This record gives sequence, structure tokens and C-alpha cells, in this order.
Amino acid sequence: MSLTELDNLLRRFHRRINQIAVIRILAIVTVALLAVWSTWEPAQLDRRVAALLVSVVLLGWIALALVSFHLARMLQMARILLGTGQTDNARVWLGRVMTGWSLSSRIQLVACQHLASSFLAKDRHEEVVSICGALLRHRLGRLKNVAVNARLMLADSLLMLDRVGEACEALEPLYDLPLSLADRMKLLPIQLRYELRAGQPALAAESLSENVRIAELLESPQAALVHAMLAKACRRKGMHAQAEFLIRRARLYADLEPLAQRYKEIADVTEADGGPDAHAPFP
Amino acid sequence: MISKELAEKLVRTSRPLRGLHGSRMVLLGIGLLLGAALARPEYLTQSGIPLWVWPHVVLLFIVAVVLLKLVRRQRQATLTLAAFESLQLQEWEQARRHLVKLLARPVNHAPARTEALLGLGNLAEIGHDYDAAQEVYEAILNEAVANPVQLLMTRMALAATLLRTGQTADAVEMVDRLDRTSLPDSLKAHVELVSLFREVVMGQAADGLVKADYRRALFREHLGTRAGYGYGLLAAAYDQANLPSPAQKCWADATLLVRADALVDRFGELAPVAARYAAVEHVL
Repeated sequence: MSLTELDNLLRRFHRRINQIAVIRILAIVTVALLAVWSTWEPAQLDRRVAALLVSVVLLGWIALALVSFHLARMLQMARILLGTGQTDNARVWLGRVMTGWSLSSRIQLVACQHLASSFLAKDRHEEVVSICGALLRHRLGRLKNVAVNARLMLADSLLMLDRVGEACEALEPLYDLPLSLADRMKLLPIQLRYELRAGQPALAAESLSENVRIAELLESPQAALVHAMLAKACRRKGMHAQAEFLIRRARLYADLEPLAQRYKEIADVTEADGGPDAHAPFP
Repeated sequence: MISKELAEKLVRTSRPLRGLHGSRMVLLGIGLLLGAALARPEYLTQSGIPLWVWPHVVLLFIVAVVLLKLVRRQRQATLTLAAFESLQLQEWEQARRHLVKLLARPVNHAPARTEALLGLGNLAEIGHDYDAAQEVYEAILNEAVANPVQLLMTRMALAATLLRTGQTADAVEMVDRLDRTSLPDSLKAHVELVSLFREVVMGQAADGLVKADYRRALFREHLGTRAGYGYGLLAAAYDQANLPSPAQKCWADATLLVRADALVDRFGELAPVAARYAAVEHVL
């Protein structure tokens, strides 16, 4: 998917979300007016008109339920395709879901989040920034997870693109939200990367025990990255014993050199450390 | 922490209700009343309440039932999340409280219920209540409503529990069957951990050392911090084979990730290793 195609898709997505919001308001107002009318003017309610109204409402409801079900199936299919690495096919399905009709825009917004994660997985950060920006333009009040994930992906990609200031702006609203443990686990590596890039190692070394506790719950490469970043922060703060301990742990979780190639925040840690590979065979 | 009686009770109370109950009963009642009203509409007019009120009453009633169900589901989701977070953060007492509260009522969502039961079994293992853990794991397998990955995790947990409760033959058969199953590496790492535990418990660890490097790599890649348990068991295996140097290296790695007392608490079989080899000191 080229940038132009993505821009077109995001424009149609934006239009569809607005249209859904308008239709939803109209539907609610219509139902409310019907209820009031049938209450105040029951004598004028012709039986055939009443039957017709009930049928229209019922049919409309069934049609929208079927369409929503169809969209949910399409979204599920896209997720399966993403899981099996068929990214291009998945993006086609996600595009269809994002521009589909339903009474609630929830499915479209979730599909948009998946589209962003599909680009993030391929390190296409410009696209991730565009998609997450488009997603965050909409009200995501009841979809807290989508909002949090969009902000995390946005901050991650902005850091990759060296746009540190904007990454800070993307992260700031998250600090006011009550985050789940899973969200805190996703936030920690990104926050540490930001703090190190912004030249604030003291911040990164604050609440060291709590940060290590969360890092221990991460998968091996992420745990290694967080430990290496905490080691760097400790080293800069003169906490050498802690830095040494953390770097040993980082090396035990995963090889740091491939990680350092991807995340320049830890490049100097691996250069300065130059320690042996913990995974080396036994003597 | 979790007695066998409590485990049995929670397995029973958390089972989804079948047939007519709660909201279904209420909706059936409304349906019957509407049917009766259609057959004899004069009864409704005789009540003195205007006719137009009835559809709104029925509608409000249905909305109330639906909202009540949503609130209950939301409460269960919140409790489930709180229980899993407590388990991950090793806040055992809190996890116990949340799980007991959650499983005291029917949980209709099968995967969520299985996860909660697996958490309960895990909690029982932490408290060394292996009979209770066995009860929970067997219930999950007997009911067979869990998804394939959950069933696999349950079999692994049950195999480890059987080894602790002395039902070695069943445990060996279960581990052998798991060993023969073709699995992705992320799941294979868990199987290898149980397999290694079996070898250590049965004193056959020295024979399995040919797989040591393979297992170590698998643990490192897929188990995160829990790889520490694998390294600890590898240390025990090297120790059984009278190879102190690699045993020391493995024990150092194990205790670098997980504190020695936590390792021994989880796997009592590591107590001799802890006594023989130096652990890494945690400076945090």
C-alpha cells in the first residue's frame, strides 16, 4: 500500500466515521420522537402505520446487526491474516472494514488500530504516524484500549523517526489515564527510550525497582532492551553496581547487539560493555 | 492458601448455568404475559392503566435486564483483569481474593473461566496445595471446553503437579505424550521445562544433558524471566551428572533472574543445588 493509497483510505475512513456519527444521532432522535408521539397521540396512531413503523425499525435493526456481524467477521479474518504474516491481504480486508457501514464506529476504529500495527511490524513508521494521527482525531472515549495503543504506536514510531518532541506530546495524555498492567508493560520501553533520547537519565533511573519489576514480565528481547536502558541510566547517574547488575541481566535475556542496531538508545551501552555473550556454550 | 474443598467449590460455582434461569426466565415471563395480553386485550384496559403505557413498560424492563447483564459482565471482566495482574505481580493474597470472588458465580465466557481456573491452580501450586491444583487441572481437562492452547498448558501443569503428588507413572506418560506433540517453539519451551523437571525429580537428569544447550536456548528465547527456573533445573541436572562447573554457571544465571529463595520455594528439588553453589547477589 503506497502513501497515496493510504491517504485516500484514511480520508474515506474519516468521512465514514463522521457519517456514522450523524446517522446515529438521527436514529436516536427519530426513535425518541416516535416514542413521544406514540405516547402523546395514541388515538392518532393508525394500526397499519404503527405496524409499518415497527417493521421498519425491526428490519433496520436486523440489517445493521447483519452488517456489523459481517464487518466483525472481516476484521477477524484480517487478524488471522496478520497472524499468519499475510500483511498485504490483511490490509485489504482492514481497508474494507474501515470504510464499511454500521451503526457503531467501534469496529472501524479497531480495524484502523490493526492497520497501524501492521505497518509498525514492518518498520514503516511514516505510515504509522499518519494512521495513528487519523485515529486520534476521533473521539475514542469508550475505546480506551484503542486510544492507548494508538498513542503508544505513535510515540514508538516518532522516536524511530527522531521526532522526540512530538513523541513526548503523544505520550503525555497517557500519564493521566489509569493504565492496566499490560499497558504499563507496553509503555515502559517507549518511555525509557524517550527519556534517554531527551537526555533525562535521572528520570529513567527513578523508581528503578518498580521498572525492573515490570521489565521482568516482558518477553525476552523487550526485557533485555529495558534492562540495558536502565543500566545506561544508572551508569550516567553514577550507580555503577546497579548498572553492572542490569547489564548482566540484559545479556542473559537476549543478545544485545541486534537490539542495539535497531534501538540506538542502547548502542553505547553495548560498545562500552563489550561483555561476553551470556548464551555462549559451556566450557 | 487454596484447599481442595475450596477448589472443588469454585470449579462447581463457576460453571455456566444451563437451561432456563435468571434473565432468560424473565424474558420468557414477559413473552408469556405479552401472549396473554394479545389473546385477551380487554384485561389490560380493565386495569385502568392506559394501553400505551404497556409497550414502554415492557421495553424498559428489557433494557433493565440487558443493562444488568452488561454490568455483571463488566464486573467479571474487571475482576478477571485484577486477578491476572495480581498473579503476574506475584501478589498472591490479592490474586486469591479476586479469583475466589470471580469464581464464586457462574462465568459464562469459557476461555475466561479456564484462564481463571488455571490461575487458581497456579495459586494452589504456589501454596504447595498440590491436591487442590490437581483437582482444578483435572476439572479443566474433563470439561474439555478450553481452547487447544489452554488445554496444552493445563496438561503441562497437571504433569508437574502429578510429579509432586507422587503419581509418577501418570506424570511420565503425560510428559512423554507432550514430548511427542509437534508444537511451535514458544510452547515447546514450556514442555521442555516440564520434561526437565521430570528428569530432575526422577534422578534421570544426567541422561538428558545432551539436550541442555537446546533447552537453554529455548528457555532464553521464550520464557523471559521464567527462564530462571529452567536454568535452575539445568543446574540441578549438571549437579546430578557431577559436573560442578556448568552447574555453577547455570545456577548463577538462574539466580541472576530469579532470587535463590524463590527458586527453591517453587522447586524444592533445587535446595541441594542452592546449598552447594553460589548465588548472584541482587543489588536492587
